[in-house]
Amino acid sequence: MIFDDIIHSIAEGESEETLELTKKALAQGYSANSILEKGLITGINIIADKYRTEKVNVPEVLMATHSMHAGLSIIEPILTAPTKKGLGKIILGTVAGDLHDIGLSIVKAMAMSAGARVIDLGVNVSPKKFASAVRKEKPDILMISALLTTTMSVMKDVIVELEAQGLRNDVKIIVGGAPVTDAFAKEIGADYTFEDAFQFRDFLKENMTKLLTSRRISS
Amino acid sequence: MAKKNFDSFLDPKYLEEILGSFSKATGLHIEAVNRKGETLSILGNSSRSDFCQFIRSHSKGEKKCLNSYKEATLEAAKWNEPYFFRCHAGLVIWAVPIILDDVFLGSIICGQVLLWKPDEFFLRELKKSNTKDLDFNMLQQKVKSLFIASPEQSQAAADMLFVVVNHLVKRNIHTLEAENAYHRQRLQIKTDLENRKKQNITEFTDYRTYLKKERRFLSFIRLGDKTRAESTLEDLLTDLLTKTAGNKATIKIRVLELASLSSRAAVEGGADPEQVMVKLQDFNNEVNSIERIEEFFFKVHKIIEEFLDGIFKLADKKHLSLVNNARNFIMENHHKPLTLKATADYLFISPSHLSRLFRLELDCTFNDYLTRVRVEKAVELMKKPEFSVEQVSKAIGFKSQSYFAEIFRKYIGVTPLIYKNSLF
Repeated sequence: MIFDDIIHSIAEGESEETLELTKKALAQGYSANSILEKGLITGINIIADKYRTEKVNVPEVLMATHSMHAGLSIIEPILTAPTKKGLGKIILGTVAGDLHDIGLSIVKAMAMSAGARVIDLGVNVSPKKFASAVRKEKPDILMISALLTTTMSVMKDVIVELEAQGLRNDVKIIVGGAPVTDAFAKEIGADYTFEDAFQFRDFLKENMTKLLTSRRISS
Repeated sequence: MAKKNFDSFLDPKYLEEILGSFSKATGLHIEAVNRKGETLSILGNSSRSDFCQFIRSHSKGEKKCLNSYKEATLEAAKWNEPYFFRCHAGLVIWAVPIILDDVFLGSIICGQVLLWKPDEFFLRELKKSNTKDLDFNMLQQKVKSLFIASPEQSQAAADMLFVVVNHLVKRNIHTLEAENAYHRQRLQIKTDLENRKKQNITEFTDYRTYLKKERRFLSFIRLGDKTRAESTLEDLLTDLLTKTAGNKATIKIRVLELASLSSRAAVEGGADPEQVMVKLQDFNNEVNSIERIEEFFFKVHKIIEEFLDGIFKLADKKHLSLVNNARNFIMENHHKPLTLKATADYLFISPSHLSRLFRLELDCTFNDYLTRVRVEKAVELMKKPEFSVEQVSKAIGFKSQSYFAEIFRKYIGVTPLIYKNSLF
């Protein structure tokens, strides 16, 4: 099964193999979506779980991430293709002090596959930078990520900054990252948080249209 | 004196002497870098790889290199351990922090290797980020000169460098142990949060629930129930982190309050007041100079553990487990007409031995302890409006309501009825 091979290549950090296998899977007619979900994300999740429970060397994680990004680079152009106009714009980034981008890349791919336009601010993004991006791009959704318990509180700073600049009510805010729980999201005044990238995508598919219509009515 | 140390430490000659051979032995590239990411010296008589030299030949590339180094140096200092990262050009590098007498000086940067063969994705990314200013064909040639390391080799080199650098700055073994403890605390907080998320626990968002949990926690301390006290504390702290959204000032206040309340509870549970108050004072002084949340949590865990240990004066493990079993038995059966003999029978020891153990370990009689458990339970049950004082008295195993009232007044200061009326 080709997905198993892709998963294996990511877990082993064999980026060249991941590249070839992803291309092969596409050629065999598998959809970019299914490759993303059943291959790339499953593969990186295995490493993430392993990292949590047993001692995995950071270099091994770097290798797996590199492989996943390699595979992602093949399917991203296809995921992006069916972007319909007016299907919503999303800005995403990881907060200042936090340099993690695995979750960010996965969520980005998910958002693209749902047909949204995505602007990726990358990692280590300051509250001011988030705010000015919101001001300039006027997105429908802002997604803030934090992977560390030490950087979680910066998410609140971002929301406070948006409030101070009078931008908070123009955008739906989704927060995410391993340590982010429902209660935390509520506490800092975010609109949503999801258990994983799949839940987020389902939400997006179901609610994007609703979100956009309500926005049009209110504006 | 301290100032002199920095200068001598960052003296290239000194570093060369110590770290130069590391570079020669491993074949890995090492640079000493200051806090701004500027290279002070390249060790081991070597020069940067052709690839890096080529990137740095352009002013923009040089600037990006500096930034990568600076960022990594700061991260390494923040976590106080080797920090692995990929530089702007995609190479794998790790930074080992140099911290001398609590002052962060810079880092030792090592690596500039690849963990994979330069595949087409790597080249594409490289092209994307560097074609504007550099001849890509040339750069692609230079890629071939890069060293490909295995993950094990990289990790081992980082670990070894960390040991060497710590030795050089004469890091106190206690500081390192404390750092390790904070690291574990951080992981603990993260695991707690992740578990909550997975189990979809309907979480608290208000202080009412928090304070309720705090009261339960204090009653565990008064009863000397270490296991339950510790697990409730863990839970409390995670709640606190969520409720305050990580606000350090508020967390500090709550943690100080928690320590004060616990100190009183420990004394009520039988710990020595003099010792407890000295410990609390030390704790307050220590916490004042703390900045990181995991340190607050770690310190509060530690002091509460000490308080609880104060309740058990003797550290005889064999006795302790007997007393623990006796305590658990009492907790579970306090509502029945419980006697010293029944408990001793349950533990297969003689009543007089059990009685002696209670004196020795908990500094009270069996009956004192049983009464304390019952009063704690009574306080808990009184908070439920649907129970009358009479029902509470029966539920916790008192035969006579007037005797219950007398005991309750002795421990709490007011009669059960007054207490209950004050609640609603």
